Amino acid sequence: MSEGTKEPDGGEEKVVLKTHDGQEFTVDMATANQSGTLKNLLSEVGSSSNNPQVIPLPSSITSRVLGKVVEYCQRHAAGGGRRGGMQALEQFDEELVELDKDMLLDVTYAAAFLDVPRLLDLTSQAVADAIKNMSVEEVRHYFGVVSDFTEEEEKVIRSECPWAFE
Amino acid sequence: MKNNGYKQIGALDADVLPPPHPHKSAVTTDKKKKREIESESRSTRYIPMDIVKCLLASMNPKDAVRLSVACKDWRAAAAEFDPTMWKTPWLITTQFENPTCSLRSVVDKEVTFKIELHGYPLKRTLFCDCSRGWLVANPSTYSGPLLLNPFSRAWLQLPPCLIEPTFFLCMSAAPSNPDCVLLARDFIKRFYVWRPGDQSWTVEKGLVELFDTIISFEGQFYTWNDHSGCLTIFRVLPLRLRKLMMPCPVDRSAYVKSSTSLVECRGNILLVYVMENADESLVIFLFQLDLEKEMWINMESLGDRALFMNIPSKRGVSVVASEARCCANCIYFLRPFPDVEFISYNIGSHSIERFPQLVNHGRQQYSYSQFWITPTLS
Repeated sequence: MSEGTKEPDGGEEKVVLKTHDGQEFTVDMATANQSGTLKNLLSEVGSSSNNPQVIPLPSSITSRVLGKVVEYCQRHAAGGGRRGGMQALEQFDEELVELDKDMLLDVTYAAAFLDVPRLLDLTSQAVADAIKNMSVEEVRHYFGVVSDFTEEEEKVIRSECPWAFE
Repeated sequence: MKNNGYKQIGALDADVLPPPHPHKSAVTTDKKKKREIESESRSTRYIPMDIVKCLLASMNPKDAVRLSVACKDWRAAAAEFDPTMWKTPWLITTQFENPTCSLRSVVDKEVTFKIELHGYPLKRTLFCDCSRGWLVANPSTYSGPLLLNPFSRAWLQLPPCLIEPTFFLCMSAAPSNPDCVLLARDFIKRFYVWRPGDQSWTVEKGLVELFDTIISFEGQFYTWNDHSGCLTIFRVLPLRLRKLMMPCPVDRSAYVKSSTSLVECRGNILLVYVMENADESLVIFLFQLDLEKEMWINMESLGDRALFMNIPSKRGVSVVASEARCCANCIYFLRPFPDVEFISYNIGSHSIERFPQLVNHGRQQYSYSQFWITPTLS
């Protein structure tokens, strides 16, 4: 069945997103199409209301994380035309990324995995803002990354761009 | 495949999409054992390189460099995605006899960072110009001009000139680029040419008519003279020039102040007039060079571009506004009178935004210099 066609009974096409922890999110096609990954997939296999496609998601996208992504996609599928226009949409975006560190990184990951470019921009900016003016050590701690540079290597790198560490 | 009336597909399996759990972790330590423990614990996580790049793209250069030092994988990602390649021009302020210069932008209003200018053969930290990410210090009595890149820390002492002090005119590329041609002049409008590797300046024997503004574009220099309406296109050594008489498209006598700059934008050459009426209101005119018709064509809009103008040195750069994260169809510049202020002027709406945080308050104007600089490591 091709994308965008209606069911004979007039029902809208739906798709079910199933997380690893067993939760199911039933969303309409406009919402699913906000994700490049799902859009590509569904354009090939199609879905319907009576017989919706079930798409299992990787374990890294928990139901809580998917909930955020679906919330974003639903709101943006509706666009700025509803519920107070573009200003409300911007405010929605701002509030959506007010998350704790782990959740923010998980949603960023999910946005990249599901290819929702504007959500990825939004969360990336939120992460960038969160680590603004952090020292290298703080940045490592934030991301849980351990340096694999030797002391000498790091010294050389720092001396290449001393202005960044002053 | 049916399952309770639902079709089940292995849609997001590893064979369809990249695996959610990567093979390789960014977390590595010298001790293998420690690595194993850490890759299992929740406190460490793999950040895919695509995401690291997204983050780099959202940052100011200083934070981006710090991020790139976190570990080797991230450094590789940053090298591929050079953090100093952000297209955002920064306002660099250098002060007389103060080795610390500060950088601010119109994008991250709270972010200021400082660069220490030490290790250069430079007595007065005052610059006369900025081009292609390099600051230019005019020659002193004892030495030739100095070029320095505050981001890469590269610097270059140009040979001294035998005759009168030269004035920097134009640089066709960063001096690290072998194709670079640097033009300077002396008091009697003679041209001096320096190219990478030259041990001395070469005097260009031919003469070029006086001009108000100069740019280099695709291997040629372009100069424009408002008064004579003469556009000169030339190469040097040997001098090959073509003169086009194109009447000045603006009646400058109607304005109290005017500044003319040639700017390259989208592969075209623009003539930008920043004028002021007697009541201090601003008027800006944009023209695009039409070489076939040999005339200046009026431009209503910069489209998706923005211009950052260094008005006193009559030069500017055009940026894709979305890449520089500034406003499209705007011109950003310093307005020296009536009060020093940085503004952006929107060509479409004629609205003005002010950037008071960019002004160097409480300083005599001769004691500092300010230029837009686009960070580069070249």
